[in-house]
This record gives sequence, structure tokens and C-alpha cells, in this order.
Amino acid sequence: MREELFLGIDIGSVSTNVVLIDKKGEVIESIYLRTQGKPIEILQKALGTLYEKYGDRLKIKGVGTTGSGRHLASLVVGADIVKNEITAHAKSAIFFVPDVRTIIEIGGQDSKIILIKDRIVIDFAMNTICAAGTGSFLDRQAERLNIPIEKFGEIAIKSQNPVRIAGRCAVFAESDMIHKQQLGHPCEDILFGLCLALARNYLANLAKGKRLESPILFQGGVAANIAMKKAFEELLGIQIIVPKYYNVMGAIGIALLAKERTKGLITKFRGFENIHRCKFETKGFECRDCSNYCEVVSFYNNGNLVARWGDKCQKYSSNRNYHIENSKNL
Amino acid sequence: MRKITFPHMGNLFIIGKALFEELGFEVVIPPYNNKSALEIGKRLSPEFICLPFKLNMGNFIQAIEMGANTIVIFGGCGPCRFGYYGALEKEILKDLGYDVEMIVIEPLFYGFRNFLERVSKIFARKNIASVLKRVYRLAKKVDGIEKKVHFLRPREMVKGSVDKIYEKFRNEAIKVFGIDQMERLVDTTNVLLDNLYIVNEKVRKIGIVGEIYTIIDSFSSLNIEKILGEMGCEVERNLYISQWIDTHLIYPIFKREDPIVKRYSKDVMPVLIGGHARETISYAKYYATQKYDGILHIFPLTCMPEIIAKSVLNGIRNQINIPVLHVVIDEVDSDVGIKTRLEAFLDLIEARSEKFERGVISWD
Repeated sequence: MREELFLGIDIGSVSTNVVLIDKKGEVIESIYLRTQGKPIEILQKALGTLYEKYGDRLKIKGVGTTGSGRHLASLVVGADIVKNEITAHAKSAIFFVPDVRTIIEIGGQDSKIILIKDRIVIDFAMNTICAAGTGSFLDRQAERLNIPIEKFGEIAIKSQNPVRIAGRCAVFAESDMIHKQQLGHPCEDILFGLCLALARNYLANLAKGKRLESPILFQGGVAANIAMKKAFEELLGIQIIVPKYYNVMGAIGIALLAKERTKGLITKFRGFENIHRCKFETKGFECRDCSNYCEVVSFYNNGNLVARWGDKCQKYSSNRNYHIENSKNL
Repeated sequence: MRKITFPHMGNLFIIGKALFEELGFEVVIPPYNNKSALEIGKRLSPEFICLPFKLNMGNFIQAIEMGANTIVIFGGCGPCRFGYYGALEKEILKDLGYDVEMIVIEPLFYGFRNFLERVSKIFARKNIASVLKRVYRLAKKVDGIEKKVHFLRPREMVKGSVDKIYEKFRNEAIKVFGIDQMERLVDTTNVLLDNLYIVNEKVRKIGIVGEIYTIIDSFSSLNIEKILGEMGCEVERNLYISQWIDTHLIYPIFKREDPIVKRYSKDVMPVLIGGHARETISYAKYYATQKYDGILHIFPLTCMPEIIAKSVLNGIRNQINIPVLHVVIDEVDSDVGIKTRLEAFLDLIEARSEKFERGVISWD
């Protein structure tokens, strides 16, 4: 399998996804791991798994990173393209369903709506302040009820009589749920009530004033929950499509973008062995030189300072050696 | 001896400082809006008040610690909370036991006498007219610098050079005294900016509209203008401090109105609903006719007028046919979320304009 492959990496708040696609866009391999607050380690682990499986047969022609950890990931792997997750999600959705009009994407910490027309993004919105309608919240509630998150949808979909839960705010939703549970409502009714509440919150928060045209794709980690799909379908009255690779769509999108970007160019990818061998480290400190109190992060590769960011004045990020001694002491 | 202070809002401190110093007062400028000011503000303010209030409180406490004993702020009218800022802030400071005088200057809507009465407390000096005139000229000049910075940022040859000059200007402004010195500083800064090397790259033009504080004060909007500049966008916004003086202090005297607001708000929002909702809508429509690539609508969480403006903009988007990104600001420390949205917004603009060249595109 020494053909040309492209690597897409999506580091989100909750999951880290890595995909390998070939020239035609076929997905060769996809890995979905929990980030667990350690993006670099998990990324190294994911790439290590790929390398163990395929070894030297892998010939990477291009790499792209996306997700909230995209800049960090690009330093680790040497990315050819670094792009936001909205563009990446739209790219892969259009690739799989060319006439897609609406994308509902719910991830671990944020949710998005993307409207598409004639294969271009015409409008989008991301949740602003509240994270009530996202995967982490479902995760937490499942944990509280002692239900594995994988079983959440299965159980909830059995509900005949969903209870009504206020989904406006995660804290209120939780206390609402506890009330209903103490009143004796069955578990599946509470779970499906929660799904409906989240879907309502999503539609009121993100989709307000926007026309949701079909075909609608539902992607992101939460799309694994069949009850969420059903909740959206009930509220919208339209069939919703969950694509095959729903949980790694961002990674596929960025791999496709990397493929476009590296056409005729040599990749900046640093190689699996290199990445595996290196020891990456980050250190943070609060700069007290002015009233901004920026939190500066330094990124080290095998003990060498590679990059710095977080400072508003660019004193550190533009000059890597600036105050290097000082920062060590902090 | 009066030691005057006032809240921060972008470069307002430059103008206010020059004015009060010229009138013979000592002026205390608190540190620029910063994290600790916000922390103080959060602790002392009602929980669901908008962000500017919290920053104001932070500024006041920091200024009082530096020795200020008189606070001057503007009032307002219309159904926006800003009108109650002064009264509420006064009560909070009183409860905390601070011995400060608070002078709330109401706009001219409430009659000239009320205005004069309050103003006379601080304007106890002759030749006020000429001082005010010179301050007004200074305000125009300071805003001119900001506009120039917006123009140069995406075009600078050496990245970061514009901001280096601009930051230096802001830091120097705290040290100089009076209008004359301030004007000289503005002039030298202008020369420095004019002599920068620029490259003629293709830049995108973004119009910024929204709530006045969050669009003028770069700390509260997480430096959104700078981020856009670095991404290769020239920004223009609908509100500057001198413009605020025009619309709130000068136009009412002559019973005039901002011509753009008058022209573009007629059909969608003929009456004032408070805050700057009318300005937001009018200028969004105006920018759409001026071949801008996109509009950024910024407002603090729970801002009533701007929430209405948002719905109106959504309702007329087929009419104005320009992408609009709404950004809600609250106590968020990290700019990662904003960068993600802006990046995606620029991708959208890029793809749209390519499509535009091949034919017209509509929303539905």
C-alpha cells in the first residue's frame, strides 16, 4: 500500500481524531480517541498506533490539523494546512453529500450550524456562551445516571412518554432532571426528554432566524446518539442523515484540504518516527510586565524552545529568546 | 483639590485627560482595562449586568486606589441600561464606603440647564469654548490615528510594526500634559505611521457595527480588530469617540441626525429603541452598499438593543446580501473561540466572492 496518503488530525476538547485518506478521498483508517486533557500525548499515541499497524508502507503526502488544538497539533506533526473546524466540517460534508444544505454539528464543547448552498458555505453560527447543548453535558448526565454513554441513545429511544426538561442552561437542566427522577419517571423518559431539550435549545440558540433546508447532515460525536437524531427529526419534521464517518468528519475535511493544498508541493510532515521519538513539553507562566497579565505558553521539543504564544504584545512570540532565563525561573 | 477620573473606553482617556488637564484639574488614569480590573468589577457588579459596567467598576476602584476623588461619567436615556450606570455605580461605591463625588453628565435631551448645572462643576474656568473646540479637534485627530492603524495593519510590510507604534503612542499619551503636548504626540505618531513601508496586498474590507463600548474598547472585544488586521482585513467601524460627540452632543443642538442613520433606518427601525441598535442596522445596510466583504456585529451578552438589531439584520439579510457574523462578548479570557469564528467567516467570504464573480448568489 505504498500509495499516496493524506493525514487529517482533529483535536477537539473531548476527542482526538486521526484519519488517513487516499488520493480519491477514500477513508483508509480512522482513529477516535478521548483527548483527556492531554492533546499532545494522545496525538502521539494515535500516530504511534497507525505506524505500528502499517509501518513503512505509509507514504504521507500531506497533513492538516483542525479543532481547538489545531495550532498545537501543527507544531507536533508539521502540518501543511491549519484550518478551523467549521471549514473542515463543511468540506467533508460536501464531499460525501454534494447537495447538502444544512449541517448540524455537535461536539464535545461546542455546537455549530452550517448552511450551504451550491457547495459553498453561506452562513454559520457557533454556540456563544453556554455549552448546555453539547456532548460534555450529555456525558456528565449519563455518568450521573450510571449509564455508559454508548448506551444512552439505545435506552432513550425506547421512551414513549418523554418528560419535559428546561434545556436553556446546563445547571437548570440538571436540577430539572433530578426533580423528574425523584418524582419517579422512568429513566428512558428522562433521557429522551433531555435529548429533546438539547435539540430545542440548539434550534432556539443557533438556528434562530435561519431556514434549515434538507438534506440535513448530523455530525460530530453526539450524532452517535440515535435518540438525538430522533429528537431533531421530531422537532424539525425532516429526515436527518447521519453520515458513515460522522465522528471524524472534521478530520476527513482537513485531510481533503491538505490534499488540495499540497498539490505539487512537498509535505512538511515530520515523519512518524520523528514524532514518536521527540519529547514535547509545554510550560506556561503569567507575564507581569504590564497590566494585561498574559498567560504565555512555551512549547519545547526535546528541551529546545520551538514556539511561544499567548502574549498580546508579541514580545515573546516574535522573539523566541526573549527573557528566556526569566521564564525558566517562573 | 479635585482629582478627576473617568472610565476607560478605547482611546477616550487621551481626550478626557487633555480636556481636564487643560481645565486645571489633576487627572488620574487607571491602568488600561485589564484582567484585574475585570476581576474587581465582577465581584462588585450585579451578575447579569453587561460587561462594560463591570469594567467601569474595575476602573473606578483602581483609580480611587491611585488617589482619584471625583468620577465623571456620561449618562444616557432611552431603554438601555447605560442610562442607569451612573446611578448604580454611585450607590455601589457608596455602599463600599468610598468617599468620592460622582458627576453624571446627562445628554442634552434633558435640557440645557440640567447639562450646564452639572458641567459647571467641572468647567469652572473661562475660555471654555476654545478649550472644547481644541479638544474636539484632538478627538478627531486621535480617531484619525485609529483609522490609519486599521488601514495599515493588513498592509504593513514588517508584521507588527504598526502595533508597535500604536502601543507606544498609547503609553506615551498617559505621560504627556494638556492638549498641546497631546497634539504634538499625535502629529509625531502620524508621521511615524505615514513612513511605514506598505505592500499592496489584496485586502478584505470588514465593517464593524454593534454596541459602542465593545467595539471601541479593544480589551473587551479581545482585540478583534487586531486579529482581523493580522488576517489581512481592513476594518472600518461605525462608531468612534469623536463621532459619539457629534451625534450626542453636537447634532442635538442643531436638531440634526446622523445622515446615514436617518437614511437607512427609515424603513426598518424608524424610532430609537435605545443603545445603538439603529446605528447598527443603518451602518450594516450602508456598508453593504459600499462593497464591503462582510459585517461583524459585536455586542456584550444581554445587550437588549443589539439583540433586537441582530434579529432585524437576520430579517433583512436577503435585502442587504452581505455575510454577517454576530459575536457576543462576555468575560471570556481566551481569544481562541473568536479566532475560529473569524477564520471560518473569512473562508466563507472568500468562497462567496469567488462564486460572485461567476454569478449572483442569494441566501435561500
